[in-house]
Amino acid sequence: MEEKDRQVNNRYQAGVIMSENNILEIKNVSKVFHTPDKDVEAIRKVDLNVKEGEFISIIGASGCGKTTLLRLIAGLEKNYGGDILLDGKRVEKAGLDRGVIFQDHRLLPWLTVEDNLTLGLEGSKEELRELVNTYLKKVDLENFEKVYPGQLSGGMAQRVSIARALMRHPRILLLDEPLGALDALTKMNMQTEIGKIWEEEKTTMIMVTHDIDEAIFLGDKVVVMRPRPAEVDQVIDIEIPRPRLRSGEDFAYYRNLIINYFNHSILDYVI
Amino acid sequence: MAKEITAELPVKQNKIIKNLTGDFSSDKLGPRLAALINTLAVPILLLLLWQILSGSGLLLEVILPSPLKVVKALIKMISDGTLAKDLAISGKRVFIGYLWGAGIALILGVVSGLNKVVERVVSPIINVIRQIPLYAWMPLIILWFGIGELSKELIIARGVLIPIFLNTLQGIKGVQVEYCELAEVLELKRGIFLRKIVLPSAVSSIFTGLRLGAGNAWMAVVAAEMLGGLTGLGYALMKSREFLWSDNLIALMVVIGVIGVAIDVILRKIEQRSLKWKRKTVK
Repeated sequence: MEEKDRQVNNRYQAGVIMSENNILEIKNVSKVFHTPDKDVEAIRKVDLNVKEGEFISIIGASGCGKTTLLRLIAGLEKNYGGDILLDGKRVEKAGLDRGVIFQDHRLLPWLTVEDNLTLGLEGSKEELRELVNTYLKKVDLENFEKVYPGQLSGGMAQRVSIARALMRHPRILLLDEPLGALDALTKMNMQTEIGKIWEEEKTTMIMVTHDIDEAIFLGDKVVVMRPRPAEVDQVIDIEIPRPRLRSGEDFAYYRNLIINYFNHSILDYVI
Repeated sequence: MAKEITAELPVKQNKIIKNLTGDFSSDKLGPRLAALINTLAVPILLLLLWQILSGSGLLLEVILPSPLKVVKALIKMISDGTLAKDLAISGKRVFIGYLWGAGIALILGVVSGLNKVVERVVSPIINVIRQIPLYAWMPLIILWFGIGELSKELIIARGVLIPIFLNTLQGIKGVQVEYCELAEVLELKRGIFLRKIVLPSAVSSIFTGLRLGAGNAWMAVVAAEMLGGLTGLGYALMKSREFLWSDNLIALMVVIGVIGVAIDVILRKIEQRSLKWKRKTVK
């Protein structure tokens, strides 16, 4: 078992050393949280490379440390071991080159959609208004600029937060269980929408999720994480042509592959 | 059959909930009228009791004048202009004292909320000041500044300072970590972070402080005027007691109470206006 894992990892690492257009390189990254009574190792020696324009899904059980990994990339967690290199530069703090979509939409309730979108942006009123209109159109929320977040549904609010991130033209968009709080139907629509946006904008995206279908539907690669501490266990290339159908045979194949993987492999670590 | 039962269930449940929560507003009365009766029942009963007691002859009129006499005293006060004069004088003192107290408290609160070093200096001092009751400050303030306007304004400012400072500090420090992360991700400049995130999230708390402070100011002015000076509502109260004008005295108390409530209502309205987004939030 361990031998096989190592082979998979080695093969993957060998693959990425040869590729040159990596936008993000995660090298031997570890993270330990220090609490008063003990140190908790959240992430152990994670290696991962992301090519420009790729959609990476990271999947793992709840509390396995995948969100911590995303927060490290975002620069919201500091003091980590190893290197996270974005365009060759070590990530030390958060910044506009990385857009973050949190599970909660994190719109400021006291600002209108328009003011939320343009928060901190510079430019003339006309420029900003045009920018707002363009991006609201992209997320199918035209004419919502004067509305307060409290008047929006969960899915709509999350679309605004996606628009907010995209408007700043990030090199990479980090999505932390972005649809975790939505109902099943809204979730499916939003998955389609995110896929559409990814294809239109060609932004590199990394999404953390615990939804296997979501990971397969959107990802070029699905990274399966082993919990406590988080380690990369498997990287699966999803070779399904887009637009993808959730009902297709190839979809079922990957779904079974990952489910089996969770059943047989991950559980060993959990129990 | 089964359908009937399920259809009846909500009605039954509502009844049970009504009985449990003691909401006796029946369907015949409008809910607003019911709420009004709910609120006014006890005051009306007390008024009746007052009328009965004062009319019974058991108590001296100087101890408890009838409600009617109090109303007459109130009308006289209004018509001869003494009330307006006292109100203007007290009102001006409250206004100036409040501005000073609130201004200082807001500045100290915001700065302490943003800066740990300042907080470590300011918080303990305010805490000590707070532990000494307002009324214990009065003799010293009068000793230093006399019984003129300045000392009255100082007493009011001191009464206003504490609640506004504490609530402002709490509001500023209570900014959600999530929003701070957002500010990091969006690389917000400090000024924008303060204006668009920190202050708005503290507004509710700050208004609570402003309202508590206004209540304190109104109480402090009466106390300050009772201790020294020859003008204002507090002095009018003392004078009424000395001359055994109990009807006057109670009428003044009613005025003080009504104005206190009015100030609170006005501040609440301003607060609601500044929190427009809350009204628009769909529950």
